[in-house]
Amino acid sequence: MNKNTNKVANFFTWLIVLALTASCLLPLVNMVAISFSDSASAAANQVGLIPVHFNLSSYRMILEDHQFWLSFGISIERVVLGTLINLVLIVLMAYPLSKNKRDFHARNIYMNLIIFAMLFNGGMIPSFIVIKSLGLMDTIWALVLPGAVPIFNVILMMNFFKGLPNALEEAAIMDGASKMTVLLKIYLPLSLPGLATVSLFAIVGHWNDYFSGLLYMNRAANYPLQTYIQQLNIDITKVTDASQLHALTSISNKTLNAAKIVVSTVPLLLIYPFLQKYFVTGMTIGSVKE
Amino acid sequence: MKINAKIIASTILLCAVPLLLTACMSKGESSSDKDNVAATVAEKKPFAKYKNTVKYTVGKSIPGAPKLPKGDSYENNVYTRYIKKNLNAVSVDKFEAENGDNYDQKVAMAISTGDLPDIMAVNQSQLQQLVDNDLIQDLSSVYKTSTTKSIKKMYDSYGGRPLKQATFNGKLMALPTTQTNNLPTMLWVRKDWMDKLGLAEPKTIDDVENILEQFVTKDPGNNGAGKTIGLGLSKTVGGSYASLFQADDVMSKFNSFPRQWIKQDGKVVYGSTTPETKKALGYLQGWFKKGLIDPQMSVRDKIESILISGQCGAFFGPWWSGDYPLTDAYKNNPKADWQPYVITDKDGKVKAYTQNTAGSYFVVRKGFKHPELLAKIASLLNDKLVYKDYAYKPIVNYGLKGYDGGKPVDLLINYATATTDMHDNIMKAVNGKKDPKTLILDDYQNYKKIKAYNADPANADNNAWSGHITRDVSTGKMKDTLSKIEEVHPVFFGQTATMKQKWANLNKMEDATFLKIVTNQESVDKFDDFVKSWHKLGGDEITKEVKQEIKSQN
Repeated sequence: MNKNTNKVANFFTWLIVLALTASCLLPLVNMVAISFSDSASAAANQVGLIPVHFNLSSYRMILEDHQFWLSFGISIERVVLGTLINLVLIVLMAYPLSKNKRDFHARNIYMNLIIFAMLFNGGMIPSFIVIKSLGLMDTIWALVLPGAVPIFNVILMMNFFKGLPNALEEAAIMDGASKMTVLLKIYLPLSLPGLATVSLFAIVGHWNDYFSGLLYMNRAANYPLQTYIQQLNIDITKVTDASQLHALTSISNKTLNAAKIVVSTVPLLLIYPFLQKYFVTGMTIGSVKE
Repeated sequence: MKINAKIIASTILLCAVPLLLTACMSKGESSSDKDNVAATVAEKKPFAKYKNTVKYTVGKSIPGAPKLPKGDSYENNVYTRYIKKNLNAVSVDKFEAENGDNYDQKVAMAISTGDLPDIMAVNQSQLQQLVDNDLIQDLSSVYKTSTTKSIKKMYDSYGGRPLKQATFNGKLMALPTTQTNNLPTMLWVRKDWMDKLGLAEPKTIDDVENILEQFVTKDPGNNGAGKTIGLGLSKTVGGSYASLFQADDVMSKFNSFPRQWIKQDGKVVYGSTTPETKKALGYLQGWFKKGLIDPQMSVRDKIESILISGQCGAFFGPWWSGDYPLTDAYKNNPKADWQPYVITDKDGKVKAYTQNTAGSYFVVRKGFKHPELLAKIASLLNDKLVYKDYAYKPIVNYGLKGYDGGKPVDLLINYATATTDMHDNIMKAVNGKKDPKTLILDDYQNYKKIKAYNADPANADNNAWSGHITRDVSTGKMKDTLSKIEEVHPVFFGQTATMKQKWANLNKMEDATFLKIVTNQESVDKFDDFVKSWHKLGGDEITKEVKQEIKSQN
């Protein structure tokens, strides 16, 4: 009896999980199918999960699109630089904050400050003016510096550090280790799951962000990839002059845009499997402390 | 307590840091100010070359997908080199952004930080803002000295309306782009379906109704019973000039001109609130009830897709519908014979409202030493390049290869009759009455498409077909109809103070009401409630302001 109800329950659990998986997976498969289809069939919404009139012309066109690869390179640069800066600052900030008030007297002040900064910010125009006055417009720094300290990740990392046994640090200090040695030699090697988690957040965040590129880049040649892709999405119902018409043929090119999106997701798909095993443990670690 | 004080102190300190930093940075002078000296009288002539190179910064709107040759940029391409060669002026992009929302946002940022490019395009409300804050130059005198006779003739062909839109207190504050008015939309129908059912060409909306009914009930496209869609219709129903999928051709038969400020019996009214519009919506609701309009119109994402897939048999669209979206429909199924028809009143007339003859406005920053440069570039690109240098090889090749978006100042000025002129010129060349080499580039390409189509209509590809159906057929029908058009001129296009706060909400309410009435989710009488709340929620105030602005303009 009990076994049977378990089986039924299992069946439904599987069904729900499968449905959820499908709802995430199918749009992706559809996008891939469109990218391999003939453009007229794609425009007619005839492409489902299998390409119609299979062809590779979209991918051939991407190979020739130098702005796409330029933007691709900028995005990679941003991810590498941005994630490095994020990690260094997160660790340097989370370690002291993981200590209690006895060891670090001003801890609560700093804690309140960063939480304040997490909840409130100056808004778009003041941020824009700051970036502009600092002369960061059109540089990679405008993309990585404004979000250099992701507070949510700092708190995540702080709780992770708090979860590590205090005795390790005490023993190291007894042996004459400095605070920096403790952090580098003891805390960091033990925190790989946590580091992997915050790196993944940082990488995905940097890769997918299009808005800061739109705001802080004055030249289209400096757009990161997602900004470049965002502006491909145009809805046309009105043309004011005949000279604009020849631009229309490329706008209706749904297949090419789909191919660009597919290529843009490849780097993340490559990174995920390597970080995922840490990711699963990392998410829960740090959520409960003794 | 102590801690609180500390928190407050450090918060203040932290907030002060960026302020200090900004204060320390000197406000950079625009680079173009220093080395530029004001132009001499000779240099002010439209095509005169500057003695010393003039540098100017622009706000550049770009096409979404870049289409420049490798190695070129928006600052260095065939158009910028053409301008350098002719005028000795060099552009630097202050910012680049995609045409539309992204560009508008950059302009808004530039205005709010007070750091404007020397030349940029703005919309009507931004123009008003710039004039109010005294940030741009009066162009009245450079318009006289630095545009050619042809440019002035082009503006005059609109009866002076575009320049009037850019004039404030008698001063010309911007050079507007021009937008032509003609026959905004026609009915595009599957002729092959009509032939199959033995139907005659539609002339009035009664004919249209009959054709749609036959399409829906007899399924000439073999989509399966009940799956054929009659008319593809936009969710906004009507009121967008010369756009795809509007119902204006139906509504104008009832003297309904939605979303336009019109004069009715001597009074200024908003077209969406008139009893005529109620009647028109009721009529469309009748079509919907009979199943003649796309039953899923309120959730239809892309109307283009049902045309291309062959599910839908008709829609209202402008003359260029053959270029987009129908070129894909033809590619998908060359037997889909889409043809345009002009739908008239019973007495053979076509009523149509007109659009703003000014599109966007090009302004010159106050303090820029060369206000005449804008007028000179406008003359160069719209006069010399079009009528004298049309065979200039680098630009011809650039266009042939499908490159686009290079003009640093994309100020388009043409004659009010530009569309039918285009048809005339191409057809003259096709009929051997004009040397094809004297055609401007875009026309020449279409001339070749029509030649290809005429050589073998049965096997023409989609490019040849789209050239034929737009430059020969639809614009030809437009030309034949011009004398029968009764134009209704809207009396106001701008934005008033109250509109800034309330227009978005009023629009939302209008959109929802129109859609619900047409799709029969609400009865036609709900329209009266809409009108009442429209007046209450800001419509009365706005109407008053509009009347005042019209008075002050005259």
